[in-house]
Amino acid sequence: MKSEVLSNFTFTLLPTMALVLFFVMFTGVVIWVYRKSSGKVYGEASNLPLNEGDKDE
Amino acid sequence: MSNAPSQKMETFSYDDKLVKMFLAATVGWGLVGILLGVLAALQLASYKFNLGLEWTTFGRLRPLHTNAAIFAFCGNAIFAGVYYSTQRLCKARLFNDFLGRFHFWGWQAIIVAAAVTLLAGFSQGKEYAELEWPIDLAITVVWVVFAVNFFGTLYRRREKHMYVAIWFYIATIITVALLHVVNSIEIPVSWMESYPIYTGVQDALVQWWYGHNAVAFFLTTPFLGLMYYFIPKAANRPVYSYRLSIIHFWSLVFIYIWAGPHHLLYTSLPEWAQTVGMVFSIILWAPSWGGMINGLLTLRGAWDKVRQDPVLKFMATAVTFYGMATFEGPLLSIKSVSGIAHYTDWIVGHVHSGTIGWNIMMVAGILYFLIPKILKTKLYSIKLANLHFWLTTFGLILYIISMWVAGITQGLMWRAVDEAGKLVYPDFVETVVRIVPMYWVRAIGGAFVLIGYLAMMYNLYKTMKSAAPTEDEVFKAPAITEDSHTEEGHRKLEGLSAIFTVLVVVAVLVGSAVEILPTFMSDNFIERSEKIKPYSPLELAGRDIYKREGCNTCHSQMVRPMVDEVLRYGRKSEAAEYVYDTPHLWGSKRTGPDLQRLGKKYPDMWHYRHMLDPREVTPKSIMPAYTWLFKKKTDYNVLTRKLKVLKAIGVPYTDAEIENAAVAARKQALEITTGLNEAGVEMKMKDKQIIALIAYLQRLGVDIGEE
Repeated sequence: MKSEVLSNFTFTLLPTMALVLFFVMFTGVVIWVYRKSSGKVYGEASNLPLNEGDKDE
Repeated sequence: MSNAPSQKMETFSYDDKLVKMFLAATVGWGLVGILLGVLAALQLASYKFNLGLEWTTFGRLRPLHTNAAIFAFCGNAIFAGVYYSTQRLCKARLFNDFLGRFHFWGWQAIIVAAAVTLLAGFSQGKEYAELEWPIDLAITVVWVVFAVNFFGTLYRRREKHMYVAIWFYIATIITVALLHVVNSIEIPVSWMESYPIYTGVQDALVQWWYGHNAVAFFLTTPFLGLMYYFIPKAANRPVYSYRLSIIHFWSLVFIYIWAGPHHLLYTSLPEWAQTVGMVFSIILWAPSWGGMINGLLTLRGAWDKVRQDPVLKFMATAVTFYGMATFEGPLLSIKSVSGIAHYTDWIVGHVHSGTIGWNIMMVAGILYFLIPKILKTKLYSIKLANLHFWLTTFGLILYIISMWVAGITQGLMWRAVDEAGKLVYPDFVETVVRIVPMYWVRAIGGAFVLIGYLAMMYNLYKTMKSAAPTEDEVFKAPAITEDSHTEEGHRKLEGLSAIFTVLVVVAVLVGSAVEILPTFMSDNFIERSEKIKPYSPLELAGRDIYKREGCNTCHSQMVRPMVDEVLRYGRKSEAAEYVYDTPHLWGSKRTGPDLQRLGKKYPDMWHYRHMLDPREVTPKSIMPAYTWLFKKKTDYNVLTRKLKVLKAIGVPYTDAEIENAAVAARKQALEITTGLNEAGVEMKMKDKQIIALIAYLQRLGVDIGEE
């Protein structure tokens, strides 16, 4: 049964589905990063490499 | 992320000894990789640089160059940078010191094994995956150790938010593991030989799913991660847009996986897969430039620093060449452009604008920044570093331009058809002779890169000498407590490395599944042909010699459906022809002509003389002579085992054929040698490898016949 279903699966459907999936993900990520509260989080995050940490004196 | 005063402070130090070890290995292997590159370039400019020896012949040297440059040089650089930056971004010491050293020594041992085996003539014949199965296993083990050490450090981190560089490292580690394991599924025949379980079109697709993503996830994503750490560090300012880094990261990781088929445009790969590869490769331009924009704009307003500081010079130029290469790539992925460029030196030029322009320059910038810092001293000579920069840039420009000229010239010459419908340049060697001057220019360009690199080695050596012995600094940071996991939103997501990792896996699996599953799921994936039969035992022996000597690095076996190609080589290739080929030997480059229709075109004696001295039959040939094939004996005893393994993979040998393999091979060898004997060849040559190779070459394309 499963192999019948699989063999009738047209290959052109697969890339189309993946494209839709990607587009949804992409739009989602863009909306997400532009949410209101993100500015502060990202401001702090981008300073992480510059903040070596407190030395133990 | 800000510390509550009541949180418990923990003290720790970083394992920088390991970083220093990887840095030293990087510098050393870089020299080896570049030297091999210059030598290979000289060998193409003049065959004499092959030295007439089997261990230094181009076919064996080329994979050593690529493996050294990618896995030895870039590999060690990645590990050095990842271990340095991850510890500091996590504010935690590396998970396990012993695992770190196992990783280091394991990787160096793999490199040495690669050098020895490749030059000795053991090769799987798959590009960037030539190393035989014991080494493939070792790579898997060492990579798992690396993963454990990395994820363990992440688990122990005292900085909850995972900075963008870490995401790139996660994507790298996961995807390289997936690519390597899937592409390396093979059945051993002996200690140093094996067959992939994939054949023909399926093997080509798996190979280039792997091959392009080796570029993506070994040469790009880890370096983007390193860029996101080291450019802000070196310029002392934060990345331009954190939002952009999130958007382009997820886009890159999702899209890159699909790009593999752009290596197979106009081949026998099914049309839909070619289109998918092309389209996604073009889309890939956007997230790649997202990275470039972020890297360059981080330096906005600090261009005077870039002018003065060699570290920033290298890093900014690296990012610029990254941008150039990631524009050229999508351009080359357009089918009509690929039609001209595929198999030519344009592709080689594209590769090196990436590897020299992006990878070497980024590593140089990191070395000049990190080595003085980690040794707590200053760089010995800014002037020398600047000299290195200009030598590299100049050498690279010579390289790129000469390869553009060579590639486009040759591509156009191959295509040229006159009004009578005949090839303007029917002799392949004419197109080679025309571009040999460009091979000299490229070798000179490489020499400039080499000299610059030597200047760097001297500079770093003097820097090292000037350093006093250092103690590991001790840091303190608050421990992560239970409370810190209750924050909502993306912060929670970014803080939870496990979920993040799973999402990365899903992203890369989507493209992999769409492209590769159909090859397993359906018998309709390619049309079969009754006419195609498996290779005879002797022909198989010959094919494996072809594979091990790296003949597929200069010769393709894929006639594309273009008018000029059909005129030059014969009937266009059908997918069915490759059904018993493991590995596939379609090739990526035509330094010499395509061989898919070579069978029976020339008499056996022509092949005999050609392999003994190519210039005897083609005076202007640049091919090296393969004299050792006339001295080394064919291994008949392994043939039964080979046929057994192939039967397990799906090639329809009968039990009688398998048992009789050695006898049948000797018989066919005797027939061929008897024919050659009439032209003066001694009968004792019948057991030499040249006879097996001739058997194979004379079989190519014979089954499918004429239209």
